[in-house]
Amino acid sequence: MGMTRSSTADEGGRGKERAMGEGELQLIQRTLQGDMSAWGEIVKRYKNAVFGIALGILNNPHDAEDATQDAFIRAYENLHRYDLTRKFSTWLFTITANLCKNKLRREKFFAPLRELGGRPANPHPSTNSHAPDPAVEVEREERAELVRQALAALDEKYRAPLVLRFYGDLDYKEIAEALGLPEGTVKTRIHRGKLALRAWLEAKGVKGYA
Amino acid sequence: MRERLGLPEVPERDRDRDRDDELARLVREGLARAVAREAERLVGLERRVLERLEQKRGPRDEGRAAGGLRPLERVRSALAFGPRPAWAVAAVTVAVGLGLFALGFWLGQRTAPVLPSEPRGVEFVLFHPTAKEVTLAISYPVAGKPEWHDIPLKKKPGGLWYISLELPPGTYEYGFKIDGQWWAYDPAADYLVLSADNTVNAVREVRATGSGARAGDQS
Repeated sequence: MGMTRSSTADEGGRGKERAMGEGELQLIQRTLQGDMSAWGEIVKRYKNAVFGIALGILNNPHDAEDATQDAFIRAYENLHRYDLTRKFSTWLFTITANLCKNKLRREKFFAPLRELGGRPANPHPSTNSHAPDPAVEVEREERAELVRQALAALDEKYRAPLVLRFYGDLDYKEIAEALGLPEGTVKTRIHRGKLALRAWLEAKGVKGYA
Repeated sequence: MRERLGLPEVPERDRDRDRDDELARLVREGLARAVAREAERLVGLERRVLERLEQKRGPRDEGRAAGGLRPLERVRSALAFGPRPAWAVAAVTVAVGLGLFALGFWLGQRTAPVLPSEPRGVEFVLFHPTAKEVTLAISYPVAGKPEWHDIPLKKKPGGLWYISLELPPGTYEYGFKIDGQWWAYDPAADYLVLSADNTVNAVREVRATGSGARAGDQS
């Protein structure tokens, strides 16, 4: 069952699952019994992964931060509805994706009232990221930035399923549920999103796509 | 070409899968690095989340478990509008409609005036729920000479006053005395006439073949 495995808190990628974090089930149970500090520990474990999903979908760090906070609050408020047979991270990412989708919808509605152009992502790389080889690190950094740009350039309807698939490690059915779309539509959008991403990366000469 | 070089052919599907895996890896890496760049934003997020939850819970909810709802909240939650299966919405709508129809039918049965089932002659009916006494004043011939007679009406359920008279064919002027007040605008009348003393009288013509009975309604 889902509670026997869980994706890591700090990395939301495919194949990066590990056995459920020590005491995770206990943390959820303690939270259900009213222990707020247990929920604080859950937030600590999953905040990076949730923020990654939100950032991937919203493409705006400030909005992603808000969405991350909201996701943990909504998850807490609905924790009694959490099905223990589901993977906790999947449930949490579903809530996050829902919030992001609603946020984008609102943004679209109010866009004419706001000034054009979103806040740019922080252009300064973190100083605490360790890089054994500066040249390799620069190349990686450039490639990561290109992928981020490629994702940002995608329409939201392609971006959200791709992020949930590749970063959140959700399957088609879970993505369909999270975004309120038919499963067939999700497959189509992921396929088209992949084609668009590949085209972008090829055009930019990213290794393996040149 | 690979065959010419003696290398096994890599199926197109496998190449696609490899490229997908590479794409997924790039997306993960790209987003992970973007997250790392924004790491400062997440410092203290746990505290901010807990503070907001505390604010939302308020002092009265101390010790309440996550997502635990009070009875009133449970009802509100159950009634809250949200995505529901279309069939469920349709079923509820039909059920409510049928329920309202049944309620209306039952209330109608309970409150509708019921005409008395007495021997049918010429029926005089008046609807006046607040009257204390109602009399039918009717003129009919006695020994060939028309005379006025007062006949008390019987009070029936639903605010009705009623009497049925066996009258021979002829023309009858009449009116009602409602707590002593004259009233003759009976819609069941065949017509109205102005009498010699300037009062309005109702007229009922009784034919040989039918009773001419109809229900009257003052309101």
